[in-house]
Amino acid sequence: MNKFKIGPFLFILSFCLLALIVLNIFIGAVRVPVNKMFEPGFFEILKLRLFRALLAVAAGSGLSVAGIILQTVLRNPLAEPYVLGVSSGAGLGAVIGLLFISLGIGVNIAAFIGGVVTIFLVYKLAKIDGRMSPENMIVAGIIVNGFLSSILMFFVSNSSSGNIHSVIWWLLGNLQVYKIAPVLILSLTSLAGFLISFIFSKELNAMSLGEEEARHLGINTESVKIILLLVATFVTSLAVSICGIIGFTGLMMPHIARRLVGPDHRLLLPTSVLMGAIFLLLCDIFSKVMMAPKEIPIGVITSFIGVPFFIYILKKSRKVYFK
Amino acid sequence: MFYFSDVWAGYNNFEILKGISFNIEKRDFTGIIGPNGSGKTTLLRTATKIIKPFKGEIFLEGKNIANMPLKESATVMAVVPQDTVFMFPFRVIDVVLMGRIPYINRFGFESRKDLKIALEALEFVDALHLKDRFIDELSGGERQRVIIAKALTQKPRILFLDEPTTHLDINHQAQIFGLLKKMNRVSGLTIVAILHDLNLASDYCDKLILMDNGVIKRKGSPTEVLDYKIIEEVYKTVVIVKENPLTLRPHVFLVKK
Repeated sequence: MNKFKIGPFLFILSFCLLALIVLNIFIGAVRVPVNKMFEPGFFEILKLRLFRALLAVAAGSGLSVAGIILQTVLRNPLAEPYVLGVSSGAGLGAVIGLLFISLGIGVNIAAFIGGVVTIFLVYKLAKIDGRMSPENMIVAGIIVNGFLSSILMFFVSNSSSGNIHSVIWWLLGNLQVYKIAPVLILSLTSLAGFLISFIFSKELNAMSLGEEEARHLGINTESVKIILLLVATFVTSLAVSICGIIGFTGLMMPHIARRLVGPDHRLLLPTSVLMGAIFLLLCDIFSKVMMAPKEIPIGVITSFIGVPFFIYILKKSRKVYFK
Repeated sequence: MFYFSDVWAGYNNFEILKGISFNIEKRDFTGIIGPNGSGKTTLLRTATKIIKPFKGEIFLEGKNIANMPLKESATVMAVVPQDTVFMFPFRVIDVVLMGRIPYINRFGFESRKDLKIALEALEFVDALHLKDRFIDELSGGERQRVIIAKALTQKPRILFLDEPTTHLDINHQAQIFGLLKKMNRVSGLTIVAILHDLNLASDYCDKLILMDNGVIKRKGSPTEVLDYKIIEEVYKTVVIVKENPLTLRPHVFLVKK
């Protein structure tokens, strides 16, 4: 921690982030020459692309915060909003909200309820005789995920609504929004999530040694756990209700950041937040250029990269738990 | 210093400790012994505020621990668990510095003074050379010394240990117990340790508490507690007790069946 120069490193990451935001804006389905980008005729396109890039930043950083919280608080290197089913729960909540409450804040609330119920279910299912192994938790996540998917399919198949195609499209991950409001809401939520977990950095550090160890260091683990799990669920649910399910970002970014700056959350949190934003901006660029002018849903790209990464972490973490 | 008054405790209304009372004096080195399932670990978890007693009170330096915030009790007592699973590769110095958490306010980083305390603790356990290594690269003995250094960094006045040498060979066992003895004698630290090995307990502890089935069967000096009749009754096995010629403490020998 002492030898590594964290300041310059974060500065470089921030610079990459800004550069990628600009690059992301210049790349899109419609080719716009760079010199014409700022002409009045292209103002609408520029605006939409800016929303999209900023949403990628907000979602990427928020999902990374959620991933760190889940991994540390649940003491599970494989934990992640998507793997644990929180994303699916929020997605189902959002779909129910869309179909029955119609648009607006109701959808976000329904997504949050779906997310909270899911994390609670997974937590209860994973705890066997008071113990909660990482494997149990992943199995619980798979069970809950399967259950939620079936309910989701039920709603989708029974819906007469004509925009069901757009619902599925949105669930696969979509960063394009047409208003500034969702961008602002998600940005503020991710920022708040980051700040709250940063305030709890020391608690998170101690809790990564174990819950009892943290209590021995004077930390009221029960309340810290509830606060942070709610923060993770809230950020995830809001991200899902705005941009659909974008899996594995919250798994990969914390692990890569830990490799670079170590497990101290005071360094880990800012690093993975920046990296999460950079990662989604990159994935979004891929989604725009790979099959242009068609777009690939961003959730498809993150899962494509995330699954091999998940297998790698699974193999590695077995060494820790099965010595 | 530390006082249990008729404590009943357990899990989900299932009683494990059934009316435990004892008193630990300052600078005592106390061993808690007893067969598996006799309630040793439950006793330790109750003493360190992991579980709340159903009934009875526990006093630490005259204060009821039920009324002590965790942050305050963490500056008086520290705990060395049997084994710590490190999920993430912390550096040794960062692990030891975590012992300062109860002293640092929410927005503060560790000060130079905290670092000094952590380095002194590492030096005390003869692990200063490991400070920049990663915790997952260390051997079992080195790791347990680092965990003890973390506990010392909390600047406790009473230290609890739960079978601290279970996974270690005899050389490392002797090393850890020598260290505990030194902390007890030099720094005047009060030590309470759960021990499986009756002979280690006899050699190093001044006082023993023998648990059986959730109650204290006997407490006192090793000579008083390690009586062959009592041991045979509690452990349900035939033993012979003789004096260790070096330490002049009683030693328990198992008799083949």
